This record gives sequence, structure tokens and C-alpha cells, in this order.
Amino acid sequence: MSFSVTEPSKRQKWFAGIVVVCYTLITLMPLVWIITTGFKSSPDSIAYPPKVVFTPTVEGYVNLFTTQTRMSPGVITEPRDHLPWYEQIVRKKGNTIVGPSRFSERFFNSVIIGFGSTFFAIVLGTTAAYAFSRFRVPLKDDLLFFILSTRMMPPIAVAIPIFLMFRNLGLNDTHAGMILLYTTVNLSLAVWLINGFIDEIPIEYEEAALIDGYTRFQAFYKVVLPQAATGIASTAIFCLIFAWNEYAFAVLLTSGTAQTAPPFIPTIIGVAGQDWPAVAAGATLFLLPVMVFTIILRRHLLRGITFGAVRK
Amino acid sequence: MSAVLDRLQRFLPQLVLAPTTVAILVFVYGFIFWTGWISLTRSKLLPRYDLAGFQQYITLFQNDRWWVACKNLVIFGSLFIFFCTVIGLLLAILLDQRIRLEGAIRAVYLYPMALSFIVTGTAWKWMLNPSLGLERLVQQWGFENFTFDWLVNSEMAIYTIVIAGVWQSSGFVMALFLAGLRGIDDSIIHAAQVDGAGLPRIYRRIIIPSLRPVFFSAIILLSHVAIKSFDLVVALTSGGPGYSSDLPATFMYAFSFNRNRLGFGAASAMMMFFGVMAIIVPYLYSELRSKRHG
Repeated sequence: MSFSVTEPSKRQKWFAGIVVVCYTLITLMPLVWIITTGFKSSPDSIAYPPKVVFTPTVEGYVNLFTTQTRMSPGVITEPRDHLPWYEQIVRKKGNTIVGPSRFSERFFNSVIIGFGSTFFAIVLGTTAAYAFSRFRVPLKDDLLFFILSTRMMPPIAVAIPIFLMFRNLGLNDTHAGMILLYTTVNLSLAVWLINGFIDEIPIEYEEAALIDGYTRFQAFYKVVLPQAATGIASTAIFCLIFAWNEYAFAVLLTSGTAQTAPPFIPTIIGVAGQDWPAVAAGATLFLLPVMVFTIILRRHLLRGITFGAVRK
Repeated sequence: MSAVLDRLQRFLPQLVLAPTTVAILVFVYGFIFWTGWISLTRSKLLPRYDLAGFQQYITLFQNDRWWVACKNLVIFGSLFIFFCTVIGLLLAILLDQRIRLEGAIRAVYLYPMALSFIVTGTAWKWMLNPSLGLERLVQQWGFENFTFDWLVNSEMAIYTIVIAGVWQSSGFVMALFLAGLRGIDDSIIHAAQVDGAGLPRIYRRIIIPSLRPVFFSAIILLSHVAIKSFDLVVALTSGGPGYSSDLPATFMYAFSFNRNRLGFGAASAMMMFFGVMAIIVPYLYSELRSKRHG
């Protein structure tokens, strides 16, 4: 599927390759810093010049998932062979684990809210997009324009009513509230993108299916949906990434039970000052799902943007 | 039974479109109206609904910090859109030269956009910090006089946000352009080559013009990103030093929710809204019109 618009010469290829690789390195730099720092010990993480070669440790990850407290020197002399490995790591610094941290809770909140809101946005968005594409909707172009225009609105501009509504309806710090919010924010994008994908599918296929005795729903389910699948999948990724990363509303509307990971990660602090490896470990775990999704769906992502599998 | 189904079929479009359209209507336009109403009251910590005229707007226009935020948005927005588009187009053209590992590189370029800047911002903060990152590294290489203190310099802080913003979005713009390049009909290009047109001419006359729709969507998406930029500022400078790198979004947030001046915050939110409308609506409308008649 990949071909360039013109046949490149060898020299062009080299030049292109070098520039592309340089930019790749720049792009990756912050991520490399995060991932390596997550495996450094506390002193290594702030050592100068930055240590490229270091002894990897999971200390940061242990700190991320646990709450610790300093121990009195008397306890440290106890034999520690029978202790689990994570306790041993913590004891080396003179601390002891007193319980789990909030990180896994916050991470799980992100999963529920991210996937929940994506699901609703895609279901509602796909049906609406299909209706726009295939039925005679009065003022269709104006409605689509109106839906697209809402996407341009910075969501933060309506933060005050949302804040007041959440307070009045008791939605503050609830999963349902955040799912509702992210669904509606994503909906306009979902309708707009999926409408584009469905428009690209020749209507003749469905007409043939309808003549063959399919109902409208079967035609949608068996003919349109499979062909729009890559487009819908890439739209879902866009929605999921938005909900996963959203920060402004998360920090405004959640504080405890429904708090997602983004407002939580920067607040991770250790027993003694900012614990860079723990922050970096949390960041790595948080970034990982999106990185995996981007890799798995990269072909679909591009094909999605190039508008569908079937061309007229 | 079939009569019911027939009926259902007839009302299907309305049934399907209603929830979505209503949700968007209420959540966006209804809430903008609500914000507008609050901006005309003396609401502080609690909302009030008795109208009090344009007092909040007058106070807003006399507020220095607001004008700093607006100026920053113009600086940030124009540089951000310009560099993202140029770098994105360039990378797309280069990546289109049948480069090995193209798929992996494409995924890498999409990372910054896909990842939360609140999280990746921790790395940027470290790199841009004069006593930790780039400045110290270059000084250690022997360039003792090298300074790079933009992050803590109130004149330059906004430009660090431009740098991080361009890092974040140019790969995404590249993906858009690459898709556009791949969508161009080969036969036109071959025809031009047969006619003896050189490569620069092909790019200028055929390829770039046929990427027009991509420029359109790239600029929409980028202005959208620029105006709603909040994470970038919060993660890097929190609007500082002082309020020198504030953007309207952080200004609005600070006054509405940290200083509990809902009416004043609502006035700034409405100004953001009018700003978006003034820039994007005429542009969008002309594009959609030309599509409809073209």
C-alpha cells in the first residue's frame, strides 16, 4: 500500500532518511527520559551529568504502588531474609511499607471512564453519522456544520456551567458524571469523522442488500459497519485518547473516588521530597496503553484518515 | 407488526439523530448561553442570576493580566500553527520517499500528540530547567556562556510553550499530510512527468494544491489545539513567571475556580468563545459552501 508520489533517487532517500531519523530522536527524547528514570534509583535520577548507563532497579515502581514510612533504626537490624522482595527494596532505604498507594485505583478510574465514554460516543456517533449519510435529513449540511462548530469550542469555555451542574446534580467526583462529560465532548468529533467514512462507502452496496431482502438494520450491520470498521476504530482511538489524557475537567471535577490518573501523577511524592523515579514509573505505566494502541492501529489510523477501504 | 416497523422506519432518522443533536445542543450551545448569563451578573463563589450589565467585561478589559494572556495566545497560536504545518508537511514529503521502517517511524511521530502532556511535560520541565537540563549540558560541553533560561524568563516563557507545542503536534500534522500524499491520483503525476515537468514543479503545481483539504483540516485542528491549550501551560510554567505565560484558558480557570470569581471568569470564557467564532466560523462556512457548490 505504501508508494511515494514520485520515484525517489538514492541521494534523495539518504537525505530524507537522515532528517527523518534526527526528528525521530528529538521526538523520543522526553519518552526515553521518562522510561529510563522510572528504572533509576533516587540518587541516579538526579545525578549530573544524566546517567546513560545505570543499574536498573524497580524501586520507583515499588514506591509508586506503596505508601511508606521511615522506620526506627532498631527494627532495621532484624533479619530480613523472609521478607518479600519489595519490602526488602524499601528496607534498604530505612523505610517500611504501610499499605498500597492510590495509584492503581486512579489508573483503574482512567480505564473505566476512558473506555466507558468512548463506547457511548462511538455508539451514538455511528448511528447519528449513518442517519446523516443515508437518510434525507432536513438542513443536513447546516446541522453537520453546527456539530462540527461545537468541536472547535474550547471545552474549558463552558467549564463554569459544567462545574455548577455537577455540583447541583451531585455528579462531582463520580464515574457516571465523567463518562457523561467525556461522551458529549467526543460526540461531535465522532459524528463528523464517522460521517466522512460512511459517505465514502458506495450506497449501491446497501441498495443491493435491501433488494435482496435485508432490513435497513441488517444492511447497516452487515454491509456498512464492516466497511466502516477501520474508520470507526480510528475514531474510537481518537475518543479514547482524549478521555484518557483529559486533565482540565478531571482536576476540576474529581478529587477522590473518581479521580483519573492525569491529575494524580504530578502529585506523587515520596517520603523525602519529589520522588522522580516513582513519578516516571507512574508516567510510564500511564503512557504505555496509548503507545501500544498507537502501534497496533497505526495502519488503520492512516487508512482511517485516507478514508475507508473502498474507493469509487 | 410490520405497520409498527414501517412507522419506526419512517421516524428512524429523527430517533437516531435526536439524542446526539440534543446532547450537543445542550452541552455546548446551552452552556455557552448559561456562561453568557453568568458573565452579566455579579456572581462570585456562588452563581447569581440577576443581571447587572457589562460590569464584568469592563473590569476584564482593564485587567493587564487578560491582555497578556491574549497577546500570548496570538504569539503562541501563530508560531505553533506555522511551525507545525511546515514541519508536518516537510516530514510527510520526506517520509514519502520509501524510507525503511516507515510504519514504526510514523507511530513514533504520533506519540507526542497521543500522550498526555501533563505526563510528558515532566520530562520537558526537566530538560528546559536551567540548572538541570539543556543549559547545564551544553555548558558542560565547554560552552560556558551558553544560557537557555526561557522557562524562568518572563520575556521568553511563552516560547518554551511554543517549542513543546510544536513537538507535540507536528507529527500528527505529518500523518495528515502523508495520508493526503498517498491519496493523490498517480496518473496525474505520471502525466505531468511525461509532459516533462520537474520535481519541484510537480510539488508546487500538483501535489501541494491537491493537499488543500489537508491544509484545511490541519489548520482547523491546530487552531483548536492552540485555543484550548491548557495542559501545556499548566505542565510547563503554570502561567508563570508571574503571569507572563498565561493563556486565556489558564486565565479563565484561575479566576473562576481558584479565585472564585465566577462572573469575571465567565466574561473571559465568553471572550474566548467570541474569539473562536470570529476566526473559525467564517473560514469553516466558506469551505463548506464551496464544497456544496463545487
